[in-house]
Amino acid sequence: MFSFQRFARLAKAHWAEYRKTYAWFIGIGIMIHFVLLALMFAGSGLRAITNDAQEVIYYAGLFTTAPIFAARYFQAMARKEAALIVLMRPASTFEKWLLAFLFVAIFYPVAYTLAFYVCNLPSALLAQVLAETMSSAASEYRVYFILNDASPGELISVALTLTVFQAFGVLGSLYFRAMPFIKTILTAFLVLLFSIFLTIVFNARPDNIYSYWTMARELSPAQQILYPVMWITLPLLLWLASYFALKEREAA
Amino acid sequence: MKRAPLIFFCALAIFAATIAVSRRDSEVNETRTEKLNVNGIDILEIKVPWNLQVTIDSSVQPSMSYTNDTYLESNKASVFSVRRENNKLIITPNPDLDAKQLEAGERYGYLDINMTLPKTIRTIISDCGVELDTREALEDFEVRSSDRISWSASAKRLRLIHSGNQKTCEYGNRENITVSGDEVGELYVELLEGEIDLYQSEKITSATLMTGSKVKLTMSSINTLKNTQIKPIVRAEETPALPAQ
Repeated sequence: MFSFQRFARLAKAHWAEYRKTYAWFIGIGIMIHFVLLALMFAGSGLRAITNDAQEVIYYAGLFTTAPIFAARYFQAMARKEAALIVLMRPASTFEKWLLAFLFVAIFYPVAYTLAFYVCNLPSALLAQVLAETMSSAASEYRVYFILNDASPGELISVALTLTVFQAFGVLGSLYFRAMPFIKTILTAFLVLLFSIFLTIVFNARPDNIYSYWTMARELSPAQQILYPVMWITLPLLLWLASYFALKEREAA
Repeated sequence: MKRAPLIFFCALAIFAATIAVSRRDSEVNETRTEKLNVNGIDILEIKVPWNLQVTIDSSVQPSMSYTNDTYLESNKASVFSVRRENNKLIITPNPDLDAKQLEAGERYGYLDINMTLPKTIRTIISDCGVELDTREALEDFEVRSSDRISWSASAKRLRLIHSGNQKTCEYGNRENITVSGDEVGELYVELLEGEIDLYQSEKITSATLMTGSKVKLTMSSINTLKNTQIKPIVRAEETPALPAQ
């Protein structure tokens, strides 16, 4: 099922084939970030680059681009001839899935974070220097760094939520054979509507679920069971579903 | 049926069930009110990382209410511990709950604390933002905080002292002092950095502003400048508190 040599060859082949695409993807992200910073600079000057603003940009960028990156990982599967090449690669389904997981869930967030600082670091440092010379609280302008600024609970929430979105993107790109990107977005929209419907019907508080890792709350017995179960099983099940979707594509 | 959609629907079912049970316990009262015994007290010191809204109203029972939204919702114990030291009432987080919160390795939730106090209280010392509002005319009053101070009341002698950004608040400390509302006789303000806003400065008889060089000052009337002295700040620790009556 798993051979390290075969996996390494698969990773090399994938990297050789897609590194330019990934470089473009990251490059476009950096360009958009620069444009955004330029617009903020044009509007309010460097004073707009507060720690909070950096945090908003970081998360907005991460949660927008990571699912797109995930949904594009198996983009070749949407085209019959390219799908055949991907499926015929000499590697097991598990190896292909594992490589997808590593690229999508590990490589991309790290690459995104590094790319974020290409734009953010100079602007934030400039804003910090400016704040020190103006009558502004310098602490508001410090450089945003996720490991410093987010609590362990927030980091867990972010990591698990992100991987759910990524797994959903990968699953959609594998399950839908024609127009997978649009159909995945449509399915996500339906899931969102379904969640809103449930929230209204049950007078629910989804924010309570999200704050499970960040707040010490007293929970009802059902919540004590279902909150951790959901947080752990949702990403696991979605990644498992994407594994089976890949397997089913190979079998078809 | 294929396994991929089956697993997806399992995940969706768990998600739906979790949303369904996320409903709050209806028995939990979201707002708690606790009575305060302030007999013989003229200084209130509150050492919690949340904002404080104070209403001075001598006609009602002194009390403290807070929205128990994000902090141990169904816990019966008070979120706060209240103790007296001579003429001072000191309010801190309940050490038991505090320890439980710290044990969870998490930050506090957010609370809005509302207090109703009699006019016998003359000094409020707070780690976090203080907003004070009253229709009663006060004599001497002093507010010390390391966060935003917002005053909307009348007083004969008013001292508003920002004790420096000490990172004591749950969502960050702000550096500004705002005075609005009714007549203020003698105003004394200390602020090292940030903004002083005197929104109805024409109602201030005289003002002494002890400021750092980076303070921005806003006045609603230029005439107030005649009665305003701006001096370089002396360290906050050196500023004497109002003598107790």
